[in-house]
Amino acid sequence: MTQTQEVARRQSTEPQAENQAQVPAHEPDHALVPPADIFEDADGITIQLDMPGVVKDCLSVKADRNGLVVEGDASIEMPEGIEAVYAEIRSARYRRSFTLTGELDADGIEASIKDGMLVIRVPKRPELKPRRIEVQTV
Amino acid sequence: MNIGVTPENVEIYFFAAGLDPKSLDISVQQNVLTVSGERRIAPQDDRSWYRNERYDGAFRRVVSLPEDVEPARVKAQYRDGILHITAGRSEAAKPRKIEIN
Repeated sequence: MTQTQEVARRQSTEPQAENQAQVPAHEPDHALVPPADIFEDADGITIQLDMPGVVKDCLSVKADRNGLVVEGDASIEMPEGIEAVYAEIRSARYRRSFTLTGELDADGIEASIKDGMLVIRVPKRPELKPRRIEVQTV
Repeated sequence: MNIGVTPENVEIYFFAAGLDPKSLDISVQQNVLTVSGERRIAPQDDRSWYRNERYDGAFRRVVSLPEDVEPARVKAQYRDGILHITAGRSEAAKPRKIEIN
């Protein structure tokens, strides 16, 4: 995906939508940028990434105050002596980074992968979650 | 999709994360392999979306296989987001070494 398309596909410019991917123009090792779905609900943000071929052992999700970096290597079992005749995917490495805004709790991030689909849950800080105030009758 | 060949098989790899294998329909007819299926991303109203890049919906791909592939010997397995189809090639098409008497 090109940078132009990335910009064109950005759906929201709200302040919280700072989870935009930072894709360097020239990735040194030609890592693939996995497509992502990002959505927010009352408790936090969920990021879903398509990383076919990646299993738990060759996946790294790192988070600090500034952001989140996802890296993974696809492990594809191939028979010995195989001769490639057609390839759409030439790299077995995925990488994508996201910026986290201040209201998110980087310590509470949870990630799980199933069938090559990585789901990352970034909770909001408890004090910043919308709180429903009960109106009391006097 | 990547394709590789060995003397025995044609190996086809489809990169498709998060699929339900039951939604896949794989068929071979006259050496044309068709793979179709769908991935539905559940819509939820209480979410505000920032990015929606992952493919949502039905898909279909058609590949013509080499003529020496035997339709009865096509196997498929889905694992870790990769659909791997192995199509066996017929014995007759294998290179045969001729001994000199």
